[in-house]
Amino acid sequence: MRIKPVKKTVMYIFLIALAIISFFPFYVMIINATRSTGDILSGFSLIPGKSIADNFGEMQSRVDVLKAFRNSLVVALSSTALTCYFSAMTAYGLTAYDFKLKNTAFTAILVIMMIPPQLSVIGFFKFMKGMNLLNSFIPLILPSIASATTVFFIKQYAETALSRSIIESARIDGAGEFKIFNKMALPILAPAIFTMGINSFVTSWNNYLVPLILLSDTKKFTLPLVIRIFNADTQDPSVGAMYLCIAISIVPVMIVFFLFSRYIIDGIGAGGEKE
Amino acid sequence: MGKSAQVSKGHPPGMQKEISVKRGKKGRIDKNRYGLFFLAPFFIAFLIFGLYPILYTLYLSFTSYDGFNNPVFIGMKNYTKVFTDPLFYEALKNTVIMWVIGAVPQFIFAFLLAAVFTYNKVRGKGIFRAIYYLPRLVTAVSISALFNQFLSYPSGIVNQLLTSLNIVGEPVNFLSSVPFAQGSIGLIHWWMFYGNTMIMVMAGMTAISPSLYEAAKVDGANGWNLFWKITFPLLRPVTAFVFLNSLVGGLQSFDVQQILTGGLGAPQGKLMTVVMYLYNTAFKYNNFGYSAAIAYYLFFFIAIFASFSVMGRLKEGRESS
Repeated sequence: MRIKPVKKTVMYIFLIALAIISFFPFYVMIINATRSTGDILSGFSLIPGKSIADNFGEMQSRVDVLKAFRNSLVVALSSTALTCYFSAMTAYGLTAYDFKLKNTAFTAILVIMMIPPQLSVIGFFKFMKGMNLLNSFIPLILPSIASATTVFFIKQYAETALSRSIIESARIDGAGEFKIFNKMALPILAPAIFTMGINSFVTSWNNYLVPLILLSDTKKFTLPLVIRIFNADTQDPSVGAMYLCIAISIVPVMIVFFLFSRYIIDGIGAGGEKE
Repeated sequence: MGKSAQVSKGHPPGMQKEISVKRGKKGRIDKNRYGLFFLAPFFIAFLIFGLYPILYTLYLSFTSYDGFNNPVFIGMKNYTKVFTDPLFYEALKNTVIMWVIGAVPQFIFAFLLAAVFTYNKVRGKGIFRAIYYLPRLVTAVSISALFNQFLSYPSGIVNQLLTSLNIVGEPVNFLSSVPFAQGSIGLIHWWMFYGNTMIMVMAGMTAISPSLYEAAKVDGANGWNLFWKITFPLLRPVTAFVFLNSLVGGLQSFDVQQILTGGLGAPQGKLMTVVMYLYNTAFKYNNFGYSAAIAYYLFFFIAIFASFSVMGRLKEGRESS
């Protein structure tokens, strides 16, 4: 379908306007992270200020955001590693073998994908309280072993990428089943694992409800929880410090995204096609 | 034994042959039990961290539990209360209203943009797509705190812009008026999710074979006809999926409203969502048993919608295999 130049101009104006609307809040966030509270409240600017060091000092004096950054990083990286390895393992089990319960297991995974997290929250809280695991990262990390969405996605990929003849020939060479998985299947599944790994990292990094109910010790807080503290402080707000804190939570995700956006977007597209 | 009996009953001869070939490769049959080992970590983790807490929540929903003393079994009391709880229905109503405000523009933009990118050569397509998608990836809490600053009264950025451009004389207190506050939430959700929906719709549009359009054009169909007669019907599975996805997500919305209202759901409780109500009931008012019943009642609504989606997937799985 070819369209006329006028229409084309209108189309680009629309696309660019929408891109500005999508990106503008992030731009303002970065600019305001470098401006003093007074400047921010007195007027709007598109040019960076010079107060980033002051904002940083103010931010750290209120809440240890760097500590929260480290906590978020530890939780997100560990969760991602577990999700990637065990989801690939599950997907491999569902693809490379034929056994009785296979279809039941796959149906179960589809159903698990649909369970809203809120359903378990109250029981999860009491369970973890009983295990003395409140204020621990374990309940934020270990459940990542069972990520149904990731298994589903990697399995779809494995079905076309893994050939049983390669597995069979490795067996003839005398390789054990787990060795075949670790040395041969993992590299073959790497693209799908990578896409879902980024997703898993971002999901964990952004997780709010579960840390909110489990963590009460400020030393254990993750970034969303410290942002909540800044946001709730309306008595004596330091707007500059708050913008900086928000930027610290967002900019790493933006960098990861712009480095790998192709994989992430292709991943969603591929997932969507299957639905 | 049962299997071969089945085969001789109904299946075509080809199937029988395949099974006998499978049995011929003895080594492979031996290895197949390894499949269970590979699935074990997932299901063990799910049983401990997924299923057990879900059943535990179910148990707690039949008890009175304040978080400190032992739960006391009270039967269906929590459920009879939640069925008639005006606060629950008010929260459900708010949740749905805010979802609609966000979802309608979200779908319009998603379909429009997907069509633009699929049927035109757009320069910088990758960059546009990436920028539209970006808000979806960023922490909802951070976004909410950011918009809370933008919308703040009297000197947030939105008010600074509106007053300096003389669009309004006096700064507007957006988050204190019900329509503005609900509208702002809807707008934030639109802003966060339209790119994501667009990419899912695009995947569906790209999968439609161009030869269908060519054939229709030969028959004299115009763009409007092509969309309503080819694109729209063929996109139905994708449309159904993104719709349900959005609805189920919308019913669970929590982060944005919680941060923008400090957990209060103000103004006039019209920003209170079901999950906020659930959270407050348990963690503010220490009524964990009742909160568990709210969780199950919400799940009842979500399950009705989600079951359509699961059935669709299973059906599709059967067709493709």
